[in-house]
Amino acid sequence: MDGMKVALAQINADIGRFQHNLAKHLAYIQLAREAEADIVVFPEMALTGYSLQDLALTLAMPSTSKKLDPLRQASQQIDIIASFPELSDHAAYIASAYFSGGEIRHIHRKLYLPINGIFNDRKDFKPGNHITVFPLRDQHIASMLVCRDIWHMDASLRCRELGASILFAPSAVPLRKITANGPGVSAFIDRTVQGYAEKSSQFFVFVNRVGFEEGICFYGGSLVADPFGTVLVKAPYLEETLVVAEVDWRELERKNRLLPLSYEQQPYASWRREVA
Amino acid sequence: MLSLPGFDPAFVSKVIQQFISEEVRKSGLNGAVISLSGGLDSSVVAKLAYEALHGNIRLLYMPYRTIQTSERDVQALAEQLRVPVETYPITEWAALFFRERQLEDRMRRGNVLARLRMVALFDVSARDKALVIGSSNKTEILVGYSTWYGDSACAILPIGDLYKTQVRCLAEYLNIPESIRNKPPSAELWENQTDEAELGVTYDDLDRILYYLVDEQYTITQMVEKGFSEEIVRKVQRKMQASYYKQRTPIICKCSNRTVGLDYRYSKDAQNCEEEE
Repeated sequence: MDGMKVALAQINADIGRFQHNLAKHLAYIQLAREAEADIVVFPEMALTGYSLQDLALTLAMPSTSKKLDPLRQASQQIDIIASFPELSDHAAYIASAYFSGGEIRHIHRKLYLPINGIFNDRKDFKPGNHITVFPLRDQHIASMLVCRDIWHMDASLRCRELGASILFAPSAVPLRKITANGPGVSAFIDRTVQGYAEKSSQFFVFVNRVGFEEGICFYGGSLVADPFGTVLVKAPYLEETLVVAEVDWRELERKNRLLPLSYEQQPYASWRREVA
Repeated sequence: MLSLPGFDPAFVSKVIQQFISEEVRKSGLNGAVISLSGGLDSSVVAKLAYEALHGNIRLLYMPYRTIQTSERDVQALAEQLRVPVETYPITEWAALFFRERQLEDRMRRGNVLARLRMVALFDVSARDKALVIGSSNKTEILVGYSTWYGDSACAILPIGDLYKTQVRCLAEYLNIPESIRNKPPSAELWENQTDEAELGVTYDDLDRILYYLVDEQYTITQMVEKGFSEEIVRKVQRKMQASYYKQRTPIICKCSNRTVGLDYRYSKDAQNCEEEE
């Protein structure tokens, strides 16, 4: 089979306890290796906790930091996507890094920093300013978005235009609006992930956190959708766990045989608003 | 007329139990203490905390005079949980205070009772190194139906985002003794006091109004179009506005560059932050 095994590490994290959180990352990397995964993906900011507020610049580290060496080392055996506050040019970003072959090969800085309701991202961090793609170990092209980025159609549109085969989205989505069918926010996320995967003909890997930060619950429910929008795996709500999805790259071609949406793309078309 | 949307009590219970167990873990304390009144809210909280902390809870019952139904209901819950209840009557303590301060006004008396209970509750917390868990629900927090620094004083509020009618639904799911579920809600600060009489509206109506105003951000015009009485909606909104102050930490007059509560922002959880090398 031309494919890979993607492990979703749906974990909790404690604010400001980097060593504690790192130890948990290493334990889940071991679990992913035992499951013979090719890549393991961790949630947004799981190395430091999410709501850093005035600690953002204190806890931020450059991507060259020695503190990340254990992950670099572990990436000799398995690819890793892990997220932390990145210090660059004396500013803090919400970063997600792709570790492979002993080094960081790609970093995505969160573009859309929410400020509504419980969120302070835009206050505490500088937004990233670009989206790009990167090759995985098997040379398939991947892209990354972090959490709120996936709510914005223009961000996902760029990933589609760049022609990635798979999109990774480390996230920290809080629980809100519990309905008769569980977390209301999950219905929105699932629709977004499935709809995006189907329309852009890509695999979509959404990894959410669990646990609490000051009353805010991260609900879990991580999932992978295939290019048809079908859910390949969905992690349970509220539980720390590792789930594995088998990505079959041939599905991308089967999708194009059935519905070649990606052929129809017109990335260079221009749109003009003309209102009398 | 609009009603509250569906609600999954099993899922909510799981969320709240995780919340309680994480908060106790992060506090570094040994279990939790809950003040039982014999009413619905504290019974639900006690049951959730019992499950979350594998029974490591203390239950404190602080009657003023003896209200037989409350005592019976506290015992019924304690028997269901098989956790002993520490009873500390505040009757003599309160009587002494009322006499010495010549206190007749029932509202003031009621507030004193709530605050005396708070004193005893926090002392048990210090004695047993247990986290104080409060029992306020979203309805009473929003309309300010509580004694400031009395029953509102606590470290965490597990059901603070659930409306009263949702707590009822949760109580049924948790199999809280029927006598507790079926009696009219009361703060029992004076004889024959009931929440609904004092609030001037039923919990069913109040919760619906609050839900559409707060959770769904409807305007009053939209609420009236949906069939709510404008008079009652406006009355509820005034109660909400009058309670904003109770929902805050004390307001600090800003003089410096960084001010606690304003622009000195740390998660409480950062108390366990590792030291930088």
